[in-house]
Amino acid sequence: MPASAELLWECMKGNTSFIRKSANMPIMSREPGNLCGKHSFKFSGLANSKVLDVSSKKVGSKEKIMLTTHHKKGSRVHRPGSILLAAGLSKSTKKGLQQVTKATEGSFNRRDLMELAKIKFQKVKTSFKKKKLVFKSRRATK
Amino acid sequence: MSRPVVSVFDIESADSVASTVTLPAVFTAPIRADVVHYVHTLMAKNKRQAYAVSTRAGMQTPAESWGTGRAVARIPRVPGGGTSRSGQGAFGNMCRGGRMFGATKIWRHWHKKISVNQRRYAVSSALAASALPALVQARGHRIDNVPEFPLVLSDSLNRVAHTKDARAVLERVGAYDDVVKSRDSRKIRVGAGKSRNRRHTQRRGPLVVYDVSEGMDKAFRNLPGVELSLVDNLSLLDLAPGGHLGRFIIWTKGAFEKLDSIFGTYEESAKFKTGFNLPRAFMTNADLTRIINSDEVQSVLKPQVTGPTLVIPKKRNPLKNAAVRLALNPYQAAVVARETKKASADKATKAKVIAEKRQVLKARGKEFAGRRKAFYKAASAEGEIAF
Repeated sequence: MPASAELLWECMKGNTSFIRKSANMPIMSREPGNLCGKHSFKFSGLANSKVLDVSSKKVGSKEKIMLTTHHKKGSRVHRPGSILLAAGLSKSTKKGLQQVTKATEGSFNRRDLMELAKIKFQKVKTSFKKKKLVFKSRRATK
Repeated sequence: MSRPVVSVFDIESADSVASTVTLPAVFTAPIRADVVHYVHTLMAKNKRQAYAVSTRAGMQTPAESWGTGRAVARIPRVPGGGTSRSGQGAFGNMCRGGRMFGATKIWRHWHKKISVNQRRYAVSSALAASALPALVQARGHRIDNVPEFPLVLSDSLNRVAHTKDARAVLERVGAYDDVVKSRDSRKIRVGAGKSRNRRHTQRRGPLVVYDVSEGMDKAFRNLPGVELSLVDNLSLLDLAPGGHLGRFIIWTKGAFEKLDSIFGTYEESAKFKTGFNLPRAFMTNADLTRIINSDEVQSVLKPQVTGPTLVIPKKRNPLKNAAVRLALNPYQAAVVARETKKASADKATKAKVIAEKRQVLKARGKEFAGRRKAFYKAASAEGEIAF
């Protein structure tokens, strides 16, 4: 029998294996499905029945931006592998943000997180840019 | 309440479902983390061994206080002579070689009683929590590859006799990741326990619950982190280690089916626990979001009050802000008008005066220029200047 999100949160808010604490920071959590990595009911990827996350994933040499949502079927709650669904997002800003909007406002899924998801999309995208460090050999003539 | 059906997996492969079983009612018991925590803290004390200092420690001297008048502190002192011990302070907790303050006693209340019903309540809650992947994952078990929760394997698991077969079964069923986690977490204990026969710590892996073993307990017991339990004596210390809900449990079909008779259902009492009935939840529907958003509640709510009715505007300084000053002092308009008029009138007269002055200066400048030229002309006509 699936427990409500509030009940799950009450069990989890004290401690989970995903909590990471550090000085002068809010309590962070590294569970899958947590958009901001913050340990709170709003962002919890385990407790909530509706989940939204934008994250990066490395597949081979390619880096992908994945959108994670909760499976719509209630029966899937008992199948750990298929609770969260990950879909790729387009890496072009315009398309990607459109897809984020569609996944949230279009399907009424966590509209409260839409703005944050868009911001995170931008951040994930900029994280893919690699700064080329040019090392000047000391042996080269100046 | 209709209970869902749980698949029983064949131990040969996680894809093949051997049969299905109705979910035992225990798994629908209310999940009470507070009860579990309370019962666990008490239960965890029941395996303690007494420790205490010797009753005679620090008291084995006939020390007596020298009283006052001897220019020494009044602490009891060791009598006699001929040894450095004589005259030294004794007995007090502050004295060297004295007995400690509040000497530990063996008759400390080591073990805690917990009412039977509370214990059973906690176990029911812990079992219910073990059926929720969210809680099991939160507790730290690696369950991403497990096909279904609760995980029930067919009774052929009882006959697994070799550890390598047991390992193979767990791998097929997706439970081996948790064993790996446990194995990799084996470390030497931090602290003095390492030299007190508690050298290693490691995480707990899956709990395998069975009703009849035909060799499987010996097969599974050597796998790191794996624990075994008969379904008849499930302990809260195994179901909620550390007082935290969500142990990863692997059931055999026989054990799973036995739960209904051990714990009972909401229709009938437990057969093997006299007088025990499954605990009932205070709220049958604990989904607050759904309750709040339901038609029944929303239809009787008052309309939402939007925004504040009184808006206090930002204060603007009338001495600096012309519009505000004008609103407070309407005569300001006349004053301003008069002054601008005067200024422009002044301006006009000023301009006139300046223009006249300029004219005079211009004329004078012209006259002087003329005089200069004339002088120069005359002077140059006179010839060279010689001294």
